[in-house]
Amino acid sequence: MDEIKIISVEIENFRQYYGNSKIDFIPRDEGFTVIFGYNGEGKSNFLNAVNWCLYQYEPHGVGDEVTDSGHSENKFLPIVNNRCIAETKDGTVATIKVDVWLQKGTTVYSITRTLKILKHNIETRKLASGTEEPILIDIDGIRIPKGCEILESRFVVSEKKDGASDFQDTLRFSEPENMVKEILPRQLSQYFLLDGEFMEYFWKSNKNIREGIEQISQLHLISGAADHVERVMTIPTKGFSKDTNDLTDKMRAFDRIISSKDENGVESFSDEPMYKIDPQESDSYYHATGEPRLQDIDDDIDKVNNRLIDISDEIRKLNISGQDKLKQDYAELDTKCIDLEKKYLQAGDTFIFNLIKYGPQLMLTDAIKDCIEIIQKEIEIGGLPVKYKRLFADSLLDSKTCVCHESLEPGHERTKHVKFFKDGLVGKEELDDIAVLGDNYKRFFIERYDEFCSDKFATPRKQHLDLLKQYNDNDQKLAGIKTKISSAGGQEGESLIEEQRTLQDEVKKLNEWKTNTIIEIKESKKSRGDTKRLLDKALKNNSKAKRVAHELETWDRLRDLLDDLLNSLKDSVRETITKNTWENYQSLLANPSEFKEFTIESDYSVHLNDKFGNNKVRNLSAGQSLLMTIAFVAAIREPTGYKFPLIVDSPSGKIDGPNNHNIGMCLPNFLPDAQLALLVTNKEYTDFISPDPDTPSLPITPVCKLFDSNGTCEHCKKPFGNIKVQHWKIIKDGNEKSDNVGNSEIKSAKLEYVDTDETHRGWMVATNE
Amino acid sequence: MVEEISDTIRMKIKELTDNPDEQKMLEKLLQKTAQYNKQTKPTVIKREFSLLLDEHFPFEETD
Repeated sequence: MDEIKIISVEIENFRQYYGNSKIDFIPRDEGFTVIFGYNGEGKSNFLNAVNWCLYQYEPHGVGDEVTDSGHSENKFLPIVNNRCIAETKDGTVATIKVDVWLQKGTTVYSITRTLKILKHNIETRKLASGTEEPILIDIDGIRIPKGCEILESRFVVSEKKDGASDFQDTLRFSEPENMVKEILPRQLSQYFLLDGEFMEYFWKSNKNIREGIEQISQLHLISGAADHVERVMTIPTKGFSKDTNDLTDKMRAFDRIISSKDENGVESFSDEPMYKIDPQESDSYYHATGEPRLQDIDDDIDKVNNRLIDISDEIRKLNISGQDKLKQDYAELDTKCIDLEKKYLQAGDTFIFNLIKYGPQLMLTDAIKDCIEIIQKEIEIGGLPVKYKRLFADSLLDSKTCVCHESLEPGHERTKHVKFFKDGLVGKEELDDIAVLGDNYKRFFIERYDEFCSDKFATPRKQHLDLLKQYNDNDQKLAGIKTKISSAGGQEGESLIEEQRTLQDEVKKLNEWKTNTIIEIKESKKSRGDTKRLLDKALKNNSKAKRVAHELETWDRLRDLLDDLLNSLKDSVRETITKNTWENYQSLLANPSEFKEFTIESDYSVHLNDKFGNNKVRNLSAGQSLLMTIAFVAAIREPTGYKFPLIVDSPSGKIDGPNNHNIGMCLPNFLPDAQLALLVTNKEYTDFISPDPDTPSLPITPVCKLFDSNGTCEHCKKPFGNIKVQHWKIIKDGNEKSDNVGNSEIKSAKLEYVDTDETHRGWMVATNE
Repeated sequence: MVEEISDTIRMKIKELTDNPDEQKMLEKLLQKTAQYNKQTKPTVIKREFSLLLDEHFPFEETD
């Protein structure tokens, strides 16, 4: 295949670019082209400009996404440069133009997309800050200030063949869109016009790998052609006999199952809605049957798996990972608190009960002492106990002898006295209880006063207070855990975990559907094959159908050849790309890889295993993903023979010091035949490389000097540099009012060493003016 | 102008078949496929593929 080179890009009034800027690209054998710009000055919009020119499509920042820096993206910018539209008088026209010159083989193509905007009275709105900004509207997907209209949209591709004196419009040969499709199809452009964001998320979807391999190596053309032959050419026309007609109908029915189409050839869908990440998205439905359904299911599995990875990341960010342990601790502590609460309340009740019961006793201590004294005296004089007095009277009466030894005969006056004495004791037994009470008060209260107070008041009070304190301590701990759980995700975390569970079930369901669909396709294909064999036989025996039988036989042979071609290429291309990607990745790394194995399976699922055999491909850091993508893109060029320049936006934007150093070292020798243009920031290019504590011997030489100097790195013992770099610099005007609006130009530049003072010492890209 | 088929595929086709008509036919089928998209009607494919077949593998009554 002819090599494609990019000759120049000219941008006029496109987004941040004011006026006209033109960049010439040098071929690879002359070096690299470097376009230098600080963040927010328009590097990504340069890539957008090239994509817009070729495909009327901008891959970077036109949706809702916001960059890590929170910088406003193109969503808030019209396609026409703000300063240009401001300077355009009402009723006159502003022109936006991007012109890309490419060379394919010996033919030069000029691809120009132009938009003319007629300015009327622009409508504005007042912001909270008091400033006014134009209201933007979308017309046919193009964002322009409200009050303007698109006067003209032109897309021209002209070519100049080798030896021709001038460019020739290609319209008479083909539509300009088809011309571009033939030079570089849009779906392939993402592998050559490399956007940093694309590289960062590249490995999160098998689709990128499948498309990258199949489309760049043109395997999709082979499978597509085989499919057309199978679906369209190997079904004969009807009209030869009833038998053949029936068999043809039967084959078509199987085809409809395999291709999910109805009898009119219209795509057939089920009523099962596909997975949506954004609930606002409009519903789409799974194909009803066959290969399109299988594709839908695969896409959904991909989407759901990606969402699951995002959820894991979000959960990690919310620090919910220890949530289960926290919840367990919370439950245990909660039970303990409930128990303690019961105990401290009981102890409190006991204390209060004692206070009520024994409190008055304390207050009556002196009175009780007096009572005891009285009782004691009563006992001493024999007045108590009454029981003893009655027993004494009974013993006198029984012995019939008085204490004075006089006889106590019945009826005797003295005997009457004793009986009277005894009878007088009736009802006075309660006085004995007082004696007992007095004795108890004496023994257990008065004589052990301190012990009594301690048992009845101090101890229960202390127990109550101790339990209350324990409860309060644990309750505080509980509140702490509750806060932790809450800060570790809270309700958001709960809903993430719930979504995670639902999606895990969804993947399980989708995999079951996938298996069923694969079985359905296999069975339909087998039945179709059986039917076709019967039909072939029937047609061969039909004298009227000889021509059709000949055609069918030829198409069968061609389809077999296409199948063989696909099978022989598919595995070899995949295996070569796998091997090269892994080698490239390791060569791009400064230190040995933490990954031990890389494979791309026949279904394009990727395994990047660590030493424990865990597949980490969907958990790569931004830097790892960038390096892996560069390695993959370099790998797909070789077996496919596709030769298109690489324009890489922020190649080491999120890469650490050692790897940034290594990229600077490797890039000159990497992709030796690829025309290379880099869009870089100061951090990636001119700043000294951040020192790395793990590799203190790592030089801090900036990447720009690794390119253009010449020598051997003392750290990695590899030769570096000796590469010529053509510099361009994006210049943004210093007008504060244009901040975040962008009035950028691109100018020819050079590398310069500045040494103003200690804080301004180092390399910079300066314009040639 | 038609999309160029990669050298890798061309070489593989030559490995698979010595028949020059089959080789040309396969390349043309791939080039035609490159021009089609989802909207291309089967009738268009059928017509164009049939013309290619007639060109490279014409039916003769003696067949």
